[in-house]
Amino acid sequence: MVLYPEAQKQAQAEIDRVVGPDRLPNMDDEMNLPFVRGCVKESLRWMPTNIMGVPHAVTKDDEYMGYKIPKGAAVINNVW
Amino acid sequence: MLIPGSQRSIHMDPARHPDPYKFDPNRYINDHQTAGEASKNPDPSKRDHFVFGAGRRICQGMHIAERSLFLGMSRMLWAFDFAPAKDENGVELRPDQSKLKQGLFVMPEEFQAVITPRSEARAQRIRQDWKDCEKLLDEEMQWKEVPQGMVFSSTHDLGKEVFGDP
Repeated sequence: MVLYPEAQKQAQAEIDRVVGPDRLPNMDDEMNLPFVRGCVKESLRWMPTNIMGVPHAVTKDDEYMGYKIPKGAAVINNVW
Repeated sequence: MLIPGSQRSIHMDPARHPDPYKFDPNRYINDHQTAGEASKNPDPSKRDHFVFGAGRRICQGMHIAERSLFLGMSRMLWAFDFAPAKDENGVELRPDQSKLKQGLFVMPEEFQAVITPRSEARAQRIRQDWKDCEKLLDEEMQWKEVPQGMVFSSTHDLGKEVFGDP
């Protein structure tokens, strides 16, 4: 928000229009705040918190799109 | 053998997300899916992102993460203005988004910012809401009583149902 003031302005304009100045936003506002929901999704895409997922292992030989994945192979998400 | 799924390459693929290093929430303005719904979308091009993984071993807490982020972000933006700090000559000190700390979590290097309540009335609203919430907590900041309707408030009964009385 410090680096992208135009995103901040757009989010605040949406919140002010939907929620107003007298109360905090809550989950009932979620569907009416598509730009704030976009901020959530974009944050997860643009700068996720975690660098890796939880490791898993294959319990038996597998094949995916022609790639052989042997039993015991570790599978991990490389998020960052 | 190690098989990594490279989310980073997908997230920063300009074919999926034009100008990928820009923070632009408008990319998702017409995406009304929750994280859970997006994860079940059979068309991979309609997935919002892959931070929570994919398939049967996908993150089980993604709905909690998504709701917590929504409440945190919407409330902070409702309450505060965020601006870069300025040096002694009034020049803005803009942090470099590519400068990150090392470690298990992705975090920007420390930077200065100016965070200001958008109005005294909004600041007062937050203080009041916090006071109201504090009444629900004991001296160790734990729930005095788990609020009705929360899923884990019924965990005990569910346990009894499944496993019988201990």
